[in-house]
This record gives sequence, C-alpha cells and structure tokens, in this order.
Amino acid sequence: MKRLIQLTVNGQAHDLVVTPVGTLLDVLRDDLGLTGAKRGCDLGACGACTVILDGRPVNSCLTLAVEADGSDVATIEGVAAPGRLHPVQEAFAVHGAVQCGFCTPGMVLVTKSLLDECPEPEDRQIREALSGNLCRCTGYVKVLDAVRAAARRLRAREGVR
Amino acid sequence: MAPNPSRKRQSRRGAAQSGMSLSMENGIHYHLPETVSEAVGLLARHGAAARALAGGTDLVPALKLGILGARHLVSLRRVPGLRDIALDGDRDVVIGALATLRAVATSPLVEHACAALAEAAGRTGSPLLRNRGTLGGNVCLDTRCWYFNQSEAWRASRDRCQKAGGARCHVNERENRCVALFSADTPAALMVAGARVELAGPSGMRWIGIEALYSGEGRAPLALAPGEIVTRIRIPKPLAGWRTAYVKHAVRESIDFPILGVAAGVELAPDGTIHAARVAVTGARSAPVRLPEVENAVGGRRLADVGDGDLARIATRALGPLFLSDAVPHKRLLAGLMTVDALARAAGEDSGRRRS
Amino acid sequence: MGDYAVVGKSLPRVDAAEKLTGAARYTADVRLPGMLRGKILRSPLPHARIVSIDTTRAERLRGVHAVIMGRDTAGLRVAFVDTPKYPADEPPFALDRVRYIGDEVAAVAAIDEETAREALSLIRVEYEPLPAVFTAADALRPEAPLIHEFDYPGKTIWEDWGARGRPAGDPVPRTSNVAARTAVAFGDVDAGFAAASHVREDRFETVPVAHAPMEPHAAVAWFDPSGKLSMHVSSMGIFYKRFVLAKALGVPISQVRIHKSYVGGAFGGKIDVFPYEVGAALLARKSGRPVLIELSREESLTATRMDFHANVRVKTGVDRDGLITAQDIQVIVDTGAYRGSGPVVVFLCYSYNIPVYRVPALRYEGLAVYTNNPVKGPKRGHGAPFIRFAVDSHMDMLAEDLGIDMVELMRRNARDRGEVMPTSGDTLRSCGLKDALAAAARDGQWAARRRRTDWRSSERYRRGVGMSACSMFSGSPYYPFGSAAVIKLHDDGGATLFAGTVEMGQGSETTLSQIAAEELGVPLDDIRIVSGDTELTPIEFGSFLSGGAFVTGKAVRLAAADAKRQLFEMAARLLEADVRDLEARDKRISVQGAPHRSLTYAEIIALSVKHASGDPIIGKGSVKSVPDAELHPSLSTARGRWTEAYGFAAQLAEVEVDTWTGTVEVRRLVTYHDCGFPLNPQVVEGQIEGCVSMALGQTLQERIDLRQGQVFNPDFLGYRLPITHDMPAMVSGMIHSDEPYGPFGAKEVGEGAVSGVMAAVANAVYDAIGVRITSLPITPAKVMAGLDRARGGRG
Ligand SMILES: Cc1cc2nc3c(=O)[nH]c(=O)nc-3n(C[C@H](O)[C@H](O)[C@H](O)COP(=O)(O)OP(=O)(O)OC[C@H]3O[C@@H](n4cnc5c(N)ncnc54)[C@H](O)[C@@H]3O)c2cc1C
Ligand code: SF4
Repeated sequence: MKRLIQLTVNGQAHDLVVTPVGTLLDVLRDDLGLTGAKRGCDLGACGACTVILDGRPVNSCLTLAVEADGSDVATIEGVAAPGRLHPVQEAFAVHGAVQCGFCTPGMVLVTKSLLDECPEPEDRQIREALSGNLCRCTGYVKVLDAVRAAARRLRAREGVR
Repeated sequence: MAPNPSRKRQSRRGAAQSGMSLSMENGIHYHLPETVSEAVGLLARHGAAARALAGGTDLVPALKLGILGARHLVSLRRVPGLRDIALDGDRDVVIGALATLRAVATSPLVEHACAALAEAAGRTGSPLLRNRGTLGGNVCLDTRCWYFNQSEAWRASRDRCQKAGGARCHVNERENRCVALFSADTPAALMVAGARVELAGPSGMRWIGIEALYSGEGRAPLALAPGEIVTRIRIPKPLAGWRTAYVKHAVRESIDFPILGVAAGVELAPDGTIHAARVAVTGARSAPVRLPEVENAVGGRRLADVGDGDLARIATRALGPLFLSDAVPHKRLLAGLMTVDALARAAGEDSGRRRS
Repeated sequence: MGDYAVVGKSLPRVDAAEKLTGAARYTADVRLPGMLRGKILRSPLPHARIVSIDTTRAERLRGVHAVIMGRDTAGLRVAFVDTPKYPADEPPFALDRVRYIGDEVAAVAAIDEETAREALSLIRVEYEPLPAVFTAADALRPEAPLIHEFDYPGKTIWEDWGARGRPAGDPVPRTSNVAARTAVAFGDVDAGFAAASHVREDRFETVPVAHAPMEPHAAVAWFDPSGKLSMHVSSMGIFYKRFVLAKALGVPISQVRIHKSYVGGAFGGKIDVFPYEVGAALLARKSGRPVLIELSREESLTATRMDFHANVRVKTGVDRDGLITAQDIQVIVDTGAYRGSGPVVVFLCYSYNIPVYRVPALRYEGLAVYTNNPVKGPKRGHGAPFIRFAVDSHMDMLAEDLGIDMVELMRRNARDRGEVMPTSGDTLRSCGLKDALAAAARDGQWAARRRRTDWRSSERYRRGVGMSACSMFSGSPYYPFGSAAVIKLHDDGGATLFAGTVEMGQGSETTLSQIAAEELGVPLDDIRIVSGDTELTPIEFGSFLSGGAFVTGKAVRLAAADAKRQLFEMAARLLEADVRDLEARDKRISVQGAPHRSLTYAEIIALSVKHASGDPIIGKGSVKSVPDAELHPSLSTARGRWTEAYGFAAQLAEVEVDTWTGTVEVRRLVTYHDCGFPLNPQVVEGQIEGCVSMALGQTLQERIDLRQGQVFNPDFLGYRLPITHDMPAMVSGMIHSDEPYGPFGAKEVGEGAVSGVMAAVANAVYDAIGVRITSLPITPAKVMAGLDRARGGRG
C-alpha cells in the first residue's frame, strides 16, 4: 500500500510515492539521489544517516518516510553556499576533523544544529551532542577541536554583524 | 566441542540478514488517525496485529529485524495534545505520551518535579534518538534479549524462541520461560516519582499507577488491555524535601541501554534523616522493580548510619536471583552498590568521588 | 632535516571539501542506469554438508535477473594467502560444504532490495549438519572433525612472479586442523634460561575484535559491451584487488578495471577479495546489467573478516640487571573456517615483537588453527596488538619481580639504531624507541604517578599508570611489490599527479600531493591528483603493510623529480645556460646570479610544446618496496628480507578504576611515535589519535561475542565502538628519527600507535588496584572478579 507524501528537502518541495516501511534515508538516497546521508548501521546506533528533520538532527534510518510527510528536511548537500563552505565545514577542514569522511556529513549537521542553538557550548555539551555519531578514524580529538573552532568563528561572525 | 549434531537433514529457507523481513513488509499497513478514539479503534480492530507508532526508534528496528509481530502501524503523530508538558493547576506535572525524550530531559517542570526523570530521559539512547523517541514509547518499550533482537537470518540458526512464538527459551532453559529484560531508562524514575499513567482504550480512559503497567512477563511486558494506549503520564507534586536521582550503568555514556539503572528518591529532613524513600531498578528483570526492603531499611535513619556495605547487601538480597549473562556475572553486587550510589546522590552526598 | 615549503606542514586535506559537502562518492553511492541489487544467501549452520540447493522458485520470481551458487564458480578458490605451501582454500560460494555461520551459499540480483530479499527466501537448501568446533584447543584434539579434508594445490597467484609452484594434481588429504605454522629459533635458548637469574612464564588471551569501518563493504560490477569488467570496490589497494579478481574470474588483468570510490575506512578489513565481490561480477555477467551489493552492518561484522582469537604463552629469562637472556613464545590463533591471514599473523607475531627488545636466544612457535568460526584477517597492527599486550604485560610482571622500574627495564632491553634483526636481516637504520620511551615517561609524569595508590584502601576511585612500546614496519615485498607514479605538467605550471592510491581516510591523496608539490616547487593548490583507478594510474603497492606513504611516496617524489629535471633541461636549452647553473623559485627557473635570465614554468612548458618536441613534460617514477628482496619472506621460518624501515612507539596510560562498578576510565594517553618525518603533522596526529581510540576500544569494551560460532552482537548497539565521551586526554608526539630510505625521511604512521595501548592500560590497572588482567577486553566483570579475589572473596 503506497502513499503519496510531500517533503521539503533543502528548501525544495518534492512529491514522492513511498511504501509504508521505506525510511527517510531510503527516500533521500534512492529517490532523490542525495547520497550524503550514509547507511552506516541501519539501526540507529551510528549517526552516519543523520539529517535535520524539522530543526532537529535525527537518525533518518529510523524515520519512516510516511512519518516525515509534510516535514522540512535539511541534508549535508544543503549546508554549503555554492562554492563556499559553511563555517562549520571550514573548521572541520582546517582542523583535520575529516578522515575517511563517512561520518562527516552527520558530524557536520549535528555540529551545525548544536551551534545554532547554543553558540557557546561547553566541552561536555559538545561531547554529548556528538555522542550518537560514531567515528572510527579520528578518535574524535580533531572533531572536537573543529567544533570549538567553529563556535568561535560563528560567534566572531555574529559579533561583526 | 559442540555435541555431535543429529545427522538429520535440515531444509532451510533463505532469509536476509537484517533489512525488512519480507513477510512483514509486503503486508504492512500504515494508519494515520486524527483522534485518540480513532487510534484506539484501529488498534482494537486489528488486535495483536496492530501496534502504536510513536517515535519509531524501537519499533522501526523491530520491523527491520522481522520481530515486530504486527502488520498494522497506527501512527499517533496526528493525535492532538499528546506532546504537551504542562502543570495541572499548580500541582502535578502532566506529560503527553508523545513528548520527546529531549523535551522531557530539558523541561524545567520535569526537573523540578522529578530530577531523576529528567536525568533518565537525558541518558536514554543518544541525542539523535532522543529527538525522535518519546516518553510513551520508552514506558511501553518491549523487553530485549540477545536471542530475540536479531535479524531473521541470524535467528534462522536455531529454533524460534518463545517470545518469537516458538516453544523454547534459549536463556532460561531450566524453567523454559521467557526472561527477556526490560531495559527502558525512564520507568524506574517514574516509579520513584509515584507517577500515574493515563490509558485510553475502546472503553474509555483510566488512570493506573505506573507499576501496574507492567506484567512482569518477558514475552509481553505490558499489562494493557487490547486497543489500549498510554496517553498521558502524571508526576505528583513533590513534597517539601523530596529529592531524586537516577544512576545508569552502561558500557558507554551514550547510545547503550542500561545494564542496570537505579532511581532513588528520599524525603530528607534538614538534619539528613530520611523520612521516606523509594528505590526502583531497571535492567534486572522483565519489568522495572521497586525494592521495598531498601526503602524500609533507610526510612527514619540517616544514610551514614546504615552503612554502605549493609545497604548494598540489603539491596542485593531484595533484588533476588537474576538470570546473569557472562558479560555481567556481577550484576547483583552491582545493583547493591548502585543502589547505595543512587540513594547517596538523591540525598545530595557523593559516593567516594574524590577530586584531585 | 630540510627546510621544506609544503611537506612537514599541516595543510588541509585535498579531499576535505568533497567529503564535507556530501559530494564524495563511496561505492554504495554509485547509481547506474539499470543497476540491480544483489543479495547473498548465507549458511545458518556452523558446519554442514550441502545436500541440495533449489533455486528454481527464486529464478522464476518477477524482477529477479540472475541467481548464482557454488556451481557457477566451480574449482575456484580465493584466499589472502595463496602459496605453494598454503594454497587458497575458500570457494567464493560453497561447493559441497559450509564451514561457518555466514558462509556464502548463493547470490541473487534483482530490480530492488525487496525483490532480492524475497528471492533469497525462495531458495531451498538442504543441509546435513556436521560436528563443529569453536576453539583452537578443541580443533587441535585428535578426535576433532576435520574442517578441511583436503588441500587443493595448483597454480598459485605467486607463480607469475617466480614463486616455486607445486604441480596441480589431486587434492592432498589433510590430517589436522593446523592451517599454518611458523617456527623460529636462534641463539642457545636452553643455555640462556640456564644463565638467567630469574625466569617467569605467563599466559594471555585476546578475543576477536572488528575493524568496523563506518562504511560497510560494498561492490558495484558491470561489463561493457566488449566484455570488459568494471568495478567499484571497498578496497585498500586497487591493483591487488584487480590482480586477484582477474585470477578468480579467469580473465586477463587488462580486462578488469577498478574505478575510483572513496573508501569509508578499512583498517585492514578491506584488503581481501571477498565472495560478494566475485558474486557481484558473476551476477553482472549473468544478468548483463550493473549490480550493486551493499553488505549490511551485520554481514560486514560477521562474514567479512575480524581479528583473531589468540592465546599467547611467554616465558622469559633475565639476568640480575634485567637484561633478557632467553625467551620462549608460543602463539596459537583461531583463524576461523578458512585460512584468512592466519599464516601471516603467526609470522608477524614474531616479526613485530623482535624489533622492540634485544633477545639473544629465542624459541618461537606460532600456530593458526581452523575452527568453525568466522574467518580472520589483518586488522591494524595485524598481530602486534596481542603479542605486544602479552609481552609488555609480562615485562611489567618481571619488573615487579626484579624490583626494577618498568620504564628502566624497557630501556635496558630496548634496541638501538644500527641493529640487525635476526632471521630477516633487516637493519634498523633509524630507531627512536628510547627517545619515545623517555618522552612518554616525561609527559605522562611517570615517576611522580607510578605506585601511588594503596591497594588495600577503601577509596572508591583509584588511579595508576602503565607503559608499553611497539614497533611496525614500512612496506614489504608483496604483490605488487612496488609503486609507480606519473606527473603531468599543465600549461600554467600546475600539475596532475597520477597515483594508484586509495583514499580511505589515511590522507594519502594529501600527503602524496604534498610530496609532489614540494619536489616540483609549486604550492599544494597547483597539484590535482587522480587516484584510485587502475586504468588511469600506474601500478601501486596499496595502503596496507603500512606501505602507502613510504613506498608510493617515494615513487611520487621520483616522478616529480623527473618532471623537474625535464623542466630544467628545457630551461637550460632556452636560456642557453648550463643546467647546473640554474635554480628554481616560485615556479620560475633562473640562472644563478643573473635573475633577469629566467623563465616561468608556464613559459618553459609553452616553449617546450611550441618550439621543441611538443612534449608538455611528463615525469615518472617507480620504486620497489624492498629493493633487495625477490619475494615475500618465508612465512613458516621467517627467513628473508621483510621491510626497509621500522617505526616505533611508546605509550603511557593513566587510568582511574571505579571499584564499585569495575569501570576503567583512561584519563590520559600519551603516545610518542617515531614516524621518521611527519609529511603532514596534522595527518600523522590524526592517524595516531585514531589508532589510540581503536586500541582503547579493543582494550576496554570491544569484542565480537562469539558463541557456538555465532556472533551475538552483530550491530553497533552490541559491538561498542568508542564514542566522544570515551576519549581520554591525548598527548600525541612525534619523534623525528629521519629514516634515510623514506621519502623526506618518513616511515609508516597508520598502524604503529595501536599496539602499545593494551599493555599500557593493563599495567596501569595493576598499578591502580593490584589486579592483573591477562585477557582482553578489560571488562568491569573481570575487574570486579579480580578485586573480589584480592579481597579474598566477598558476598
Ligand atoms: C541504538 C539505540 C539505542 C537505544 N538506547 C536506549 C536506552 O539507552 N534506553 C532506553 O530506554 N531506550 C533506548 N532505546 C530504545 C528507544 O529509542 C527508546 O526507548 C525510545 O524512548 C522509544 O520511544 P519511541 O517513541 O521511539 O517508541 P516507538 O519505537 O514508537 O515504540 C516503542 C514501543 O512502544 C509502543 N508504544 C509507543 N507509544 C505508545 C503509547 N503511547 N501507548 C502504547 N504503546 C506505545 C510501540 O507500539 C512499540 O511497541 C534505544 C534505541 C536504539 C535504536
Ligand atoms: S528469554 Fe525470551 S526472548 Fe530470550 S530466548 Fe528466552 S524466550 Fe526468547
């Protein structure tokens, strides 16, 4: 029994036909060709599939597409302005927070949503915010460095305005 | 060496390793009711074949593994009013079943009414899961077992177990009775808070104490009537001097289910005497359990007067025998010490943590 | 050490932007017109005879395009080790037997996942269960069932490369479950023990752990109309994959092309050629369509490769000063249902241990044993983590017996530069081991923090420190034995580097680009790299055996130097000067002392194209991994050259033990890594931090929970990778020992810092609570049991 749903993804509206058990991750990767969200464990325990759903980062592998009907979705593909990285992405690049890159989209989205909400996070908050996103390469050291740096950078930018 | 298996030939059908099991998938129906009564009607109509869907963070994995045992998903998403966290008059805090764990963890009302609940909700799963997972889903969480929460292909290596509709239990072979563990974080805290749960069913609404929600059966841990759902949870206004804490022991500080979770509440006199106490444990049995022996032992005394060792022993004894996995053979001892820890934290003391 | 403009700098990675925007394409992200989804049917039984397989209903299902099984691969066997002594033993799809839970039985390709899954459910397999064994000890018993009844000698993949073959003939009956054995002896061991003033013997155990890269394994395969096979794979070296795949499929190497994919982490787990890859190719051939097989996390964790279960016995004699007089080591590993890398790991447990301490006399035996467990393969460190865990835990115990400080005992026995390794003849041309030890002890405040706690105190939280060291090599003689690189200059003096490296997180695209930029004298931005494609790049060693930067880096440097030489020659002609009088700066070549006589790179290239032969200037370079070795060393005797350079690391851990819960928290982890010269310090630090994190996982919480051959935690909820909260304060320092053979003095960085963590933590736990844990992981249950024993039992 298929259903028609509507999703706004990175600002663009899409009408989609989905099965009741198709996940948001399936729809993004297979129907919309947005492969930035990764299938890391498919059971909500790694965070590689993170997307922002109605303002909050979630595991898209555990979100049924039918349940996201009418929602607003932001994926990694929509974070950078054309030709210019977002300050969070910039900080990840400069601080060596990217290795294999498979967890990176999720890490960036979680960081962005953390800093949108809490511009001056304490270390403990940063660790907690990213604690559902596994990374096997970096040991998190440089990821945490990058988040701190991104926070500083964003605050500086706000200050300028 | 494994016992020489019978040379009997076995015919096997293939099964996919994780991913939605086929039999489920083709026949899955999704319902999107707009009211409580519509939802309850759908659930009642389809009986055991239907399941309420809240955040889906436990239900979707079950669907993928092929262990859901239901074909009708009744989404509660459109049902109005179930997300609110509000004060009822100036007394109790009432939390809608669809309030996310994040909302519960960060709500000042909850923090004030029962710090242990805020803590437990804030330690459930990961931040990503808490943005979807709900309090109602946590309270109604299914029990878990290493033999059951596995993919269809994985389970094809042996007979279906009791919880999956088969005849045998692979864990509790002696009694052959399912002992799958109830491991949700918040119910222990809710017990300590003396929470009451509003149920909506085909024959209307009723309120029950949170303890009455649980059957104690590994196979079917909830004592809900057919078609019933949890709609609201009420935390009574705390008495003056009432303080609570939740201690979770898990391998990692995020993501992992508790190996054990202990919630404690104490009504503390200014001189440190405990007028009354409540202690509840999750992760030990097929339901969260209260430890009345511990509550009685500390009642009317100061913690320091009871002694950590004695208190731990009382708690261990109160919990009784457990099914112990190789990974946690010391679970009973652990429960004792964690109970001491939880009571101490509730009473505002720390347990041996020395800063250097 | 030179003063460099590009190497030695922490420049941002060249692949960062692609990965940060979601544009980087991994194998499972590939979408091709008409692409089918493949799925694999696996054995649910640990050991059984296949009586029959019926695929007719699956084949008839609408949407199914191909079904394959053992029949379609008859006679084919693939393995990590394929030598005359250890011929390949793993049929990609079961022929008559399945040997572990997860063994491949059949595969289907269908229009989508759902249909493929349904097709699997329609395949009927009739099994006759066979007795199974699940530990090496059981498998070694005389009455144990034989897991492999025959070896199938024949042509091995090494024969093209000059290995002595064994004539293909009848299968050779096997008599035991020993899959491989390494035996080494040198010096007078008995005399050494007799001369010792103290001897002790200890036993240690480690359990399988997973590589668990974030990207599960995947493959895409398709044939073009002319019959050439194209693939995207999760790999660590595309030329090795192409070589084995071509052999397996019986097609010429030049008919197989591996296309570029980013790889989402590997750590040793993506070297092997896997049945699903052979399956994707066969399904593509049979269906005439592209096929994508994306393994689930469960399959990736249970049916690709995992690290070994190992039992290690160490006996050491020392004199009064603590100097080792003799050592006797036995390692027994459970290698699983197929040989995997068993023959290599029992060799490596010797080879990685020997560069650390000076041992005048040694008896070593390593046994790899077949069981009905999943197959084992190389994982970061490949044996070093468990042999170093055993030996340095044992050293800590010896230190206590002798009343000598552990760091002092290590220092006294540690090797120095210039020493020649027994059996291999490798020379330590650089060796920063003692410097690393001293630096780690200093930064970890060893002297101040050691032996500070009273083991009988009733404090809930107690602290301790521990130390260990390890070594790692830098590339060895193994297919393809070397690397080549090509550099093509552009009109404007920028350049494209063609190198076969696979970017799997280690930063090879960045460090190789840095090497090219440095040598050419251009900024990093001027270099573009084409990598990871067997058609577009020359042969490459692969990013395993820790050879990536060391071997390929040298080839890139040579290629850049070749291009630069040509630039200089052309400039000399144009400027009518002697080459020796020219100098280059800022992409401009000028006559020394006459700066007005100069040309930019762009001008030289333009003139070369327009007025000379039309040559736009292309440089090439190549290098052998171990120049004076013909073939890999003997795995069974450890004779033969092995590597050109060893890296070293010393690691110190400070822990806090919660005696109420048994939880061990690592508070600080200090690593000093002798990596020669860090080509990109930020990349090197990242490698060390990743090593430490992975090692801490293995030390404290990770384990594949195998029971009766079945993995009970085949997901990331049960298999617990470290998370942000688990990370201690890390100090990661580098010792610059300037390896004369490495590019710019560099040697390996990707694996070294793993293997000292286990013993450092175990020794620190002992320091904190007086409980010696001899098996990994160090779980709360073991700590609690140990405390209980120490207190003489408790209720
Ligand atoms: C990786 C991972 C880690 C996790 N870690 C933890 C953990 O540490 N602690 C923990 O407690 N949980 C954990 N969980 C489980 C789960 O995320 C939480 O328990 C969550 O609170 C479930 O809520 P939900 O809204 O997502 O429930 P759903 O998945 O929607 O439902 C769960 C069950 O409750 C029933 N249900 C839901 N709402 C109602 C209702 N209102 N009335 C009646 N029945 C209802 C459903 O039918 C279903 O059977 C984890 C899950 C994952 C995937
Ligand atoms: S305890 Fe329950 S779920 Fe586990 S094997 Fe027994 S019957 Fe199945």
